[in-house]
Amino acid sequence: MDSKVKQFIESGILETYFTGSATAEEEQEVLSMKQLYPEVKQEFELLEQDMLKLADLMAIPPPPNLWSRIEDGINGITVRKPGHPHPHRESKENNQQASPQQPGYIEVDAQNTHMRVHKVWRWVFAAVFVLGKIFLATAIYFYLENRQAQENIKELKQQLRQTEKEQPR
Amino acid sequence: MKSPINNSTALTKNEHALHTIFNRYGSALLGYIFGVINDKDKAENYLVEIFQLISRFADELLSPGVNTWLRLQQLTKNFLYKGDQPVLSGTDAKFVAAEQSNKFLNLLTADQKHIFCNVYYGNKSIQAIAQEMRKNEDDIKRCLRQALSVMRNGQ
Repeated sequence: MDSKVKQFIESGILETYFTGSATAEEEQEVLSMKQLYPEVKQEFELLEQDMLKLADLMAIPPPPNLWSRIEDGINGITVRKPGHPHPHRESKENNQQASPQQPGYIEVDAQNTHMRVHKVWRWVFAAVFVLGKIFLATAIYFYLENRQAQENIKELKQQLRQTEKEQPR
Repeated sequence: MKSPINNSTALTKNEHALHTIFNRYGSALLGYIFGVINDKDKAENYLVEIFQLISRFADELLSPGVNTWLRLQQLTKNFLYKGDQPVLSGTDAKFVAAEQSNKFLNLLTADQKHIFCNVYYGNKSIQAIAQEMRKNEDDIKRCLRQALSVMRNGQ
C-alpha cells in the first residue's frame, strides 16, 4: 500500500467523516481520495457498513403507532410562512434542505383522484355497514311474515266461504 | 408549474421512500436519539418530527451515491443541536443512555470514550475537543479511529 494512502487511512479522517465531524474540506478530501485510491474506497465502504452495524446494535424498535403518528403529521402539515421558523430546533440549514426548490411552500396536487380521511371514519363506515345488514334482515323477516299472514287470510276466507255455502242446507 | 401527474408521482415516490427509510433506519435512529437525549418519550417525539421534516425530500436520501444513514444522522444532529450549543435540556447528564445501550463503550479507554461520545452523540467538533483536552487535532482523530477500531472488532 502506498505510504500516502496508508497515512491517509491511519490519520482517522475517514472516522471523522463517518461520525459527521469532518469539515467541508475534509469531506471533499475523503471523497476525492476514495475515487483515486481503491484501498481508500475499500476502507470507506467497510467503515460505512460497520457504522450502520453499530447503529443497528444500539437500535430501539419504535412503538407500533409511531408510523401512523408520522403519517398524521405529514397529512396535517401546514405551510409555514418565510420568517416564521419552526417552534423547535430547526436550523436554517435544515429549512434549506427541507425545501430545496421553494422554501416555505409545499406543492399540493388539487387534481389528485385519491383522498385521505380521518381514521374515525373507519368505525362510522363499519357501523353503517352493520346497521344496513340489520335493516335488510329485518325487512326480509317482515316481508316473509307478511306473506305468511296473507296466505292465512286467504285460507280463512276460503274456509268462511265454504261455511257459508254449507249453512243453507 | 409542474403537471399534476408529475406532482402526484413525486408525492407517491416520496411517501414510498419515507416508508422505506423508516423501516430500515427508524429503530437505529430512535436508538441514536435516545443515546443523545436519554429520554425515550422525547426521543420518539423527535423521531416523528424528524421524519416529518424529511418527508419532502425522502427520495433524495435514497439516491445512488448518498450514504443514507450518515445523512440521516447529520440531519438529526442539526435538529437536536444548534451549532455546538446543545439546545436540549438534560444534556448535562448526557451519554448515560449511550453507555447503557452501547456496550462497546466499556471497551474503550477514558479518552477514547470521551472523544467518541462527544463527536458521535455530542456533535462537538474535533477542534473543540482538541482545545478542551489540550491535544493536537490529529491526535484526536487518531484516538477516534482507535475507538472505532475497538468497537468494530468488538462487533
